Amino acid sequence: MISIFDAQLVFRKVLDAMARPGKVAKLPDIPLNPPAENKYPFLILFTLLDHEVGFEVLGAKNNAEEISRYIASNTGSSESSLENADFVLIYGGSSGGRIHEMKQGTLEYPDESVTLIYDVERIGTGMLLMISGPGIRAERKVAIEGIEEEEIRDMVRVNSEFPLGVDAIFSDRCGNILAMPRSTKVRW
Amino acid sequence: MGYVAVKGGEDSIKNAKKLIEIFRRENRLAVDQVMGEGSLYAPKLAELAVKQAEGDLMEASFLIRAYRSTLPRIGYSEPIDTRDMFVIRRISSTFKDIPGGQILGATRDYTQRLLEFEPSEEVEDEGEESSDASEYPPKFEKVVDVMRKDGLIADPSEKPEEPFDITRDSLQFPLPRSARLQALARGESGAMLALAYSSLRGYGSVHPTIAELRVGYVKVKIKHPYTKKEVSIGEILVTECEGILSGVGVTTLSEDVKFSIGYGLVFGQNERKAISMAILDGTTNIKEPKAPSEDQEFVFYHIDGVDAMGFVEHLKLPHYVTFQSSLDRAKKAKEVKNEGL
Amino acid sequence: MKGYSYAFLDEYTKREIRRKILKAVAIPGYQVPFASREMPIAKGWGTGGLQVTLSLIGDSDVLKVIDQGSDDSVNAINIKRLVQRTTDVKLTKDTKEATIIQTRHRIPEEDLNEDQIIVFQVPFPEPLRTVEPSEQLTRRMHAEKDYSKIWLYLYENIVQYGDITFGARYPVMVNDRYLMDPSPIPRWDIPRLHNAAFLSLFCAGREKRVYAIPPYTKVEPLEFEDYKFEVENFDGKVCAMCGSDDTFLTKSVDERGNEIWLCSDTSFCEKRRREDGL
Repeated sequence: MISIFDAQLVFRKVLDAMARPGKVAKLPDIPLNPPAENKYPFLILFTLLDHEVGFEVLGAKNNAEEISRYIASNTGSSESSLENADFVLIYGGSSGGRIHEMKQGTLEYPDESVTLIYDVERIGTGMLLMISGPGIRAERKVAIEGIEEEEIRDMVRVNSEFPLGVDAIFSDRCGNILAMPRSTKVRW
Repeated sequence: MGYVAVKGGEDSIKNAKKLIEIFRRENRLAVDQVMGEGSLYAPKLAELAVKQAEGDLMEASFLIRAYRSTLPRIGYSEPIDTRDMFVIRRISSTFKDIPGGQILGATRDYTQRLLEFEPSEEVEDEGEESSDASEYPPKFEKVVDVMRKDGLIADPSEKPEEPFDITRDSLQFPLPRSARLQALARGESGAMLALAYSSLRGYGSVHPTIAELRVGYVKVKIKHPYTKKEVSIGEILVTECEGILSGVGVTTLSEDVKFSIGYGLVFGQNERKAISMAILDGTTNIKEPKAPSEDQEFVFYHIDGVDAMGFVEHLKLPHYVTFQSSLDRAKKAKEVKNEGL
Repeated sequence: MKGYSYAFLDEYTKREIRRKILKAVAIPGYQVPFASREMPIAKGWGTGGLQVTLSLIGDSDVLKVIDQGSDDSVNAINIKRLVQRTTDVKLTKDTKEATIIQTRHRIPEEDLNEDQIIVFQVPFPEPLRTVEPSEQLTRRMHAEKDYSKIWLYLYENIVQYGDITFGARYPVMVNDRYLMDPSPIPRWDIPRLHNAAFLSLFCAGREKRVYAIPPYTKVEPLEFEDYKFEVENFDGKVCAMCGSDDTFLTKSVDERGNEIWLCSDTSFCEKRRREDGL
């Protein structure tokens, strides 16, 4: 659980990131004790999840169950199947191609789609991407360490039929986040 | 509460008057209407709202709705079986005699609408035969259940499932029946009356015959959080209407040659609304809507009193910027017209 | 304020709106349905804008609320009071000072920057409602990007009146994909939405829709090759108070009953007068 004031602060940072894709926002250092190295993705989950939405966790090698239980008990949300999940927490920088199974919305309700939260090593170094689109003045350079190139390729593929698609947030160990909604064009 | 069995037409009406006096409380029916439209069963709060709003029932319902949204939601009750109702009024139009009898109860239906300039006299107790007050009144078998046993009632058009909660999820058309019924239960009585009336008059094909109209008290039960057993948390007064969706002359039947039911259930005693609800349950279920009362979007977007009142009255807000913009367009159109001359 | 949550709404409500706002921002111009809550002010009087503001707002925010461009409108004051009673945030009339601006029918005249969010009160979220009453049908039109009905309507306007007759609520195309209703702001304000530094959020409480224009997003008013979009023409009129000829003016009367024109953005007008020593 996080306080309502912390939730508001986290939300404003996430909103800023989603409205300005590629802009690096810094989450407040709120004390949490998750069964994982990086607490910041959980700040985002605790802000946005409750019993009205479902989640999934991918790529957590040893303690997937522990992490799921931690999320469920702190938010009231429950684990759902991958194709029904509203939020998916991804470790290891790759969904292993399973991004194609997730909710991309329908033409009449494109909003009924998943939000991905990638736990990554570092934002600001690593793989370079050039992004453009709504929220970005012209083009913006983005660097993410801990995301597989194949995953970016898959994401681009899944987002190729706007307005259908998925929206992604990247969260590193230092509290940096950046977002790439489906409206963002990526090249590298 | 004493239970008085009534027999015979004239006696019924006399007793109805007596019961009105027994139940009389200033603004009783206004309070019931406000509980229904405010969507919160709280008679004392509704009474306060009616007074605070100086009798403006829409304003009062708004006060109740706004208050309701501040209350924590603990959970959902168990479904209520109205067969267990403590009936205080119960009539049927489909049959002359029904199991348990027709009980007129407290109603003004058969009174003469004459303004009484002097308070009505004390109604004398003429020593009517009454059943033992200590006995719990018998349950009344439902008319539709009798008809069901005779194979006359069609199955509901939708399979029962988790009810939709219109206060939590946004509406997507076509609506599931549970969403329609919920919207009707909290709908504005006047709007629903007008639409139901339109259907009866021919703007629509639903003209029902009332199988049963019941007014009475039902227990609200929840599953105890620890013991998981059902416990009663109180009683509420409700009006229930089960209408056979088949009318005078015209016999409307389902595909398997049976009668369909339109259902109405509202808080307190509000028969007009319960009947309207049953009619609109029927009209909004029609597969190929032809009339306004059959058009789901038309009905459900316009029967919410709080929404309607807010928006119609918002016209009182300043609109001088938007009007300036319109003036600009009118001027331009005039210029174009003059140029053309 | 005793007995009420911070910012009035309970956390479930805020969370739902927050999730929906994020999706709205990801799909510029698309109307996201949400389960609008009952508020202590009437529907049609700003409940949508209010729900968004209350879901955004925190201690460090500074709030400005305007109606028709004025901070002193009774409704704007009522909204401000409700927000302040349940949050204790700082209120301001100065556009430059505000972090969140809730507005009905205007965009403030002064430039907004990247740290500001403007929240529009929307009565009619659906730009196609003028030509199609059914929500099911308009939703399908947006799904298929089939906007032929509105183009036909504009064409008929021109045939009948010699020009497009949309005053406020001028339909715009967002990000080359969604037709959007910018809320009843005058045409004067439409160009401000295009490629803006600020984030725009739109919310209709009664109709239960929220939508967004992220910063730096293409917003184009519908127009024909030979009938272009134009803003309101004030014919050389100036504001009787500050002398401005570059702001949106509305007609009024002075004490003697003479016709005068005044800036609709009252705080900007005051600021200019202060700076000019008027």
